[in-house]
Amino acid sequence: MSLVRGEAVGRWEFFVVLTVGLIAVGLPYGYAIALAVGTALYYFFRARGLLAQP
Amino acid sequence: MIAEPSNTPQPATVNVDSRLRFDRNELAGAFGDIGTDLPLIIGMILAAGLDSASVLVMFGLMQVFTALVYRIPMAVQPLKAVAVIVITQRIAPELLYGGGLAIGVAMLLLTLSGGIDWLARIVPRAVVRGLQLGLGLQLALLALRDYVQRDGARGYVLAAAAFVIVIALLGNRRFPPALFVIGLGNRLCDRLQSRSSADSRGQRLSLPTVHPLSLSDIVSGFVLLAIPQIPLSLGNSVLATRQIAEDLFPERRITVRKLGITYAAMNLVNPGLAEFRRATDREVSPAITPSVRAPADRSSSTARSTLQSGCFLPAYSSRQYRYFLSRCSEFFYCSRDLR
Repeated sequence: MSLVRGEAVGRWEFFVVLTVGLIAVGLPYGYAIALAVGTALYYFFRARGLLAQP
Repeated sequence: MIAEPSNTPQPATVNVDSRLRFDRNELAGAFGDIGTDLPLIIGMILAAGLDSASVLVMFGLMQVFTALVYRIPMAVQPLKAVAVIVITQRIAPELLYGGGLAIGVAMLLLTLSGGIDWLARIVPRAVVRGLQLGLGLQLALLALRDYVQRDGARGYVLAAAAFVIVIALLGNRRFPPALFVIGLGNRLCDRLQSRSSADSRGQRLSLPTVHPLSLSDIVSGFVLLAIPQIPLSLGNSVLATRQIAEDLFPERRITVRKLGITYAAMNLVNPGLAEFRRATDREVSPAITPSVRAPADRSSSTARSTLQSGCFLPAYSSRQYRYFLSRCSEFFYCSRDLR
């Protein structure tokens, strides 16, 4: 949790962390899917200006 | 999960030289990963029927290897996504070794092709943290589902006590909570099983032997174990490790390429040195496939890994192993008095 807390500075970063974590746990081959989905989600948010830093 | 490397800003970097150092801090650091390593290793040994001596010897040798190569506290740990699958599904050891080899090959290809450098650039830190969160949740669920309930009320009490110990000693370098938790479990185990039949196998020291793997083991291992593990390893063992090494030991210039090569080398070597007994005695071999990770303990150095190996090299059968754990606990109490 202390690791995740470091990402909690921004709402959208935290959303990405939680989404990736839940996908990793909940789906078969979850880590692979979470890696792809999380990365896509992150760049989507960044393109829309929702993230503070790259 | 508490001991995972943190990317949060650190107050200062640690000045390290390239010499091996052995002191009390190193000794304390040597036990730092036990709380993470032992449950997974023992769980895999029991679930897949691995040879405990062979697993622990290879585990110790890999610790020495990373200590000499990196000369910083570079931990070697079991592959956690693999461990979860093996423990929950009781995978055959052949498949485990095949998966380990497939992971090594995949990581080697990623590294040599430059793919790992590309991934290091594009995968954001939030995703790495999310993967680590997922791993933590998965291990917690595994414990709650498969272990805590097994002993009924006593299991819940033990789990609650362990939880309180971990929270109370969270981040305490002088008294690492893992050691107390392991000691607690060890004591309980001894009390519950003290009147059961003695271990007739006795003390032994076995060296790893070369074990051929079939192509089908490797392919099946890739599908079942490597695909779930590689994304986690990319985040946890390569990207997060590079980050923490950069934060704490900037003069070392540890690259994702070097980490990838080390990771691949260990996973290519270990499955070939596998030994296991067949179904008649499900207490088999070294499908422990290590991952590389820098520990959160900033003050310890190379000796930590080396000392850790020193603890694991004398690998004995299960009865002796519990004895070894109890000796560790006693030694810890002695070292506490020396401070």
